[in-house]
Amino acid sequence: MEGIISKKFKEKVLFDNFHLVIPEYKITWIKGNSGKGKTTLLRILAGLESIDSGEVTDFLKRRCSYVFQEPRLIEHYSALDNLLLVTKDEAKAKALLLEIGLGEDKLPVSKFSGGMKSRVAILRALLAPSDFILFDEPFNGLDSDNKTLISKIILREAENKTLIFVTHVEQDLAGLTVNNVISV
Amino acid sequence: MISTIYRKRIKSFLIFCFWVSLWALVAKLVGHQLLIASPKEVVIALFELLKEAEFYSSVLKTCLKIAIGFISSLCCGVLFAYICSRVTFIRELFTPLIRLIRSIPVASIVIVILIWISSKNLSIVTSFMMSFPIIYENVLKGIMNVDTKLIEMAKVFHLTKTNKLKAIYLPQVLPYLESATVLSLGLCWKAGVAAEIIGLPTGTIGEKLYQAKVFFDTPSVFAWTAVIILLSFVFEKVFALLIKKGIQRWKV
Repeated sequence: MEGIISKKFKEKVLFDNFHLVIPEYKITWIKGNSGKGKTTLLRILAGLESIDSGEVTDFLKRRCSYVFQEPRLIEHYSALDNLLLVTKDEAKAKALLLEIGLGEDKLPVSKFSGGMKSRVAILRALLAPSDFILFDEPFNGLDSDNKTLISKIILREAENKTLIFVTHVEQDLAGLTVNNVISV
Repeated sequence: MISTIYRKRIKSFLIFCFWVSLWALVAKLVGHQLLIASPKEVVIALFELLKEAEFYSSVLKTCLKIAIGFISSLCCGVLFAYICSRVTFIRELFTPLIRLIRSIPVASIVIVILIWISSKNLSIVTSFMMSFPIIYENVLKGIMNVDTKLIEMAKVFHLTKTNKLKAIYLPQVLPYLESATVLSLGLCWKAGVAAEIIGLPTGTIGEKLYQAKVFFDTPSVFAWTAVIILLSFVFEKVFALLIKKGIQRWKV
């Protein structure tokens, strides 16, 4: 998947004819210092942000799924109800929740801790029908055991998908096989 | 816990007794039924009213008209707020008009409406005009305040319209609608009855109140006022309860 991106915010140029190449069905890590436009880049690929010039139709014509920096869950819904908003496969949703230790929880997610919400948000992105998944700092708030478990689930559930990660912490990607690194 | 509730009730009852006693005292000091009717006279007048069949038909007529005015303003206000939240041009175009309607005094609205339509439907239009801007502005505010992050999430995950409505919009907009309902219902009653007093449509509370005033029947004026307060209170409670139930239903 390829794209050319030019984008600036007010006077600050984030991308000037930036040539983005993402290998399909592989794991890509986008790295860069804070304020370099990593999240903006993901938002452009998801169709949430427009570009000033360039071409990103290669991404926009494909189905996208997204793990936002914040969980963005429906707070008064249970974890399962949040997942059922994006999938009809209730059995799979229940099984995955069970796997991450939230199987029995009927509570609204507003009662969950930050880490629990992050895990539900990751499952939602995995369950939604998609060709590529964007992960924006997905492991924030997760302890090392949960990071390992979630990495395993990601590798298994998104086997035939293109995965794009943005994270500051390289160790977060230890459980994943990164094939492509892009610096912004 | 029980004793706290019990104590609160006793306190409220004593406060009520204080004001009624003060009222009775003032009425006794004035000593003229025409200027201020005593609580006893008002209660007697109220019981007299309750014996008349016409009382019930007047109450029903006024209630029905105010309810029609209110419910239609509720439907139109919500629909219009939705349209205006989607189309900025329409929102900007109608903002001055809505503000104008809000600032027009009830009496002016009634007189202008009386030029255009018969007094028969006056209270319907007046209550509509009073509550429509409140419903519209509150619901619009609710829609505009919906979390944009959740809207983006819905866009990315292609949530269906029903799911978007149930999960994102209704839980955020209904509290605004609830406060608008409480606020506008009180206004509907005051404005609706005021319109009836000016327009005097046959067989309504407004007409009866006016007649009581014309015949210097102060106890009946007070009794009708008590009826209006009671009906307004019941209306407010019923609609607020319905909206609250709606919120709870959508939250499950």
